[in-house]
Amino acid sequence: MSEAVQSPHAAPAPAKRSALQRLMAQKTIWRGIAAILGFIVFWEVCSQFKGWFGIEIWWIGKVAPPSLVLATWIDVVQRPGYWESWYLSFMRVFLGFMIAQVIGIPFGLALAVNKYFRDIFFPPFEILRPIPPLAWVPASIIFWPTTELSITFVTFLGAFFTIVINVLGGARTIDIQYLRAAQSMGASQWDLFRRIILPGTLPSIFTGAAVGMGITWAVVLAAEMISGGGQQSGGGLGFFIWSSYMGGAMEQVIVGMISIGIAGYLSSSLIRYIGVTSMPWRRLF
Amino acid sequence: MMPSAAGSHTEEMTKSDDTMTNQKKPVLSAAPTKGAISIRNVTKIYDPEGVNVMAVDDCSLEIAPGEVCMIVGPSGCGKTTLLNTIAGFHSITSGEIYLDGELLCGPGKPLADQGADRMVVFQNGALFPWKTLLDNVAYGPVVQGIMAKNEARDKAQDMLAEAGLADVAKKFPGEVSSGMARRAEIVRALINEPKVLLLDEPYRAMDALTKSIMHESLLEVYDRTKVTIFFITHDLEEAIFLGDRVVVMTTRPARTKKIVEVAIERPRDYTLLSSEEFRLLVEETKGAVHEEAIKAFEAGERELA
Repeated sequence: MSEAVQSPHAAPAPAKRSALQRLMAQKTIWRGIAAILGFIVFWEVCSQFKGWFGIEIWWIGKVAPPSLVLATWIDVVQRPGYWESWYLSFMRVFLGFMIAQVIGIPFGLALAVNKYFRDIFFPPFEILRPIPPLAWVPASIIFWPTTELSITFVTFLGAFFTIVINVLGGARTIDIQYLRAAQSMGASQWDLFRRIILPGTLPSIFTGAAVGMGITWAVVLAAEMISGGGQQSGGGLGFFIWSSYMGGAMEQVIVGMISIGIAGYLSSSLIRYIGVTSMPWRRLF
Repeated sequence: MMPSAAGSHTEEMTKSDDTMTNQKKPVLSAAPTKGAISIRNVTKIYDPEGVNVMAVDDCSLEIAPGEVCMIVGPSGCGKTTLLNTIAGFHSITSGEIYLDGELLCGPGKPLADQGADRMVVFQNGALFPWKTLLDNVAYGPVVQGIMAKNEARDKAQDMLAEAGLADVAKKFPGEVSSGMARRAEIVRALINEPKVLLLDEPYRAMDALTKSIMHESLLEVYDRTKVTIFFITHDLEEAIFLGDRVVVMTTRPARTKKIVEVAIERPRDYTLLSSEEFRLLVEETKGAVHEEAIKAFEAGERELA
């Protein structure tokens, strides 16, 4: 019988770990999970405090406990209307946000690089910018032929101004030495735009996108509540919350609120992922 | 103070030494006949909000092809303004600047055209952070349309290897040390085969040891290319060690106060630093700079009073 002879000094080769194992080994993941679980336990205890000990805890004692919310959620997910609300809100946010990106990024870059364009368009932009998107709801309901378009328009406005301001700021703070270096090396105006201004503005574009996405979710929900959710069944998550409130189903209101939180988190994660993959040099920081 | 590099061991030093022993054939050919700069009675007045500020006053300077001309003077005296007028970043108010006998700027043309014949290496570094060192270096030939992207990248790779940067060519500027980034920036300038390198305090923020490696690297590049160098610095020892002449500028507005000839043979190395000849040249320059520094200080005091 032969035995493999191993040097007493040879270190065992480290076992290769999967991506999931590496993720699970991160302390930050466990801290996050512990924080969420801690919050849920705290919420459950506070909500149930009156039932268990006869003393109602101020404010949180009136909120439905998470166990009840979970039971309601299990019931709600079986209804197609809930998923239609998800779909409708996502589509409205996606459409409004994408239109805001498609118009806002070139508009912001044009404001940054062209003095005449800035002289003409920046003053009206600045007058319109402080108007809250929700103040546009009545006007847009009158202006647009369908409620659906009105909601999308208001959602677009929510992201548009933030995106433009971030792009403008980002492009105008590009170090002048980058521009001078590029010009010295023979860059044309188009090269400057494509190879210097655009990549130099990318971090601000993604910052604007992340902030704009948050505002878009806030606006779409408010717009759905005000407009009655449009003409389609489901009505969107905003309408789902509003109709649950009107029907006195507080557990369902919380289900809607948590759904929005998840939807917002998924949207932000997507933007972060695209940002990280588009800007490899930013992974260093 | 400029340190002695002898006996020092850093990553930078090792890379630099490797480069010197394993040199490939030079990519660039020596060009000692190109790059004559003639600055004739140049005046530059800034006019911020109607207040005339004279940055350069009737300044004249002749720089020979292949010369390393070091410019020293008090902070804010107008050295960088002068460099910017040569580069085509700032216009001049009067006077003329020629490059190899051709007018860069002068009457009727106050702003020189920017061009790859005068490459600038900036004070705070200007490598594009979103491009790898390789793509930064390949940028010039590609945007000028003189090389295809692959060809430019091949040449950039060769030149980075010569500078001891082959291993970090595919890294982003934020991933390498300041010394490596600065060497890459000089390589990025050189790939354009400029007639003149305009260096604006390129090693200012570096520690003494890294600076010494940078000096050796620049001297090696200069000995190979003989490119004309216009180098602004506050470090007098650096000025004497690298330069053929040291031009001491007056406090603002800038004029040439004194020119110190550095008649020390090339190639130079760090044994030079301990020589009597070197010490005397530093003392001579220091005297002139100190006089101007006192004037600048007193002028500052008057402005604050």
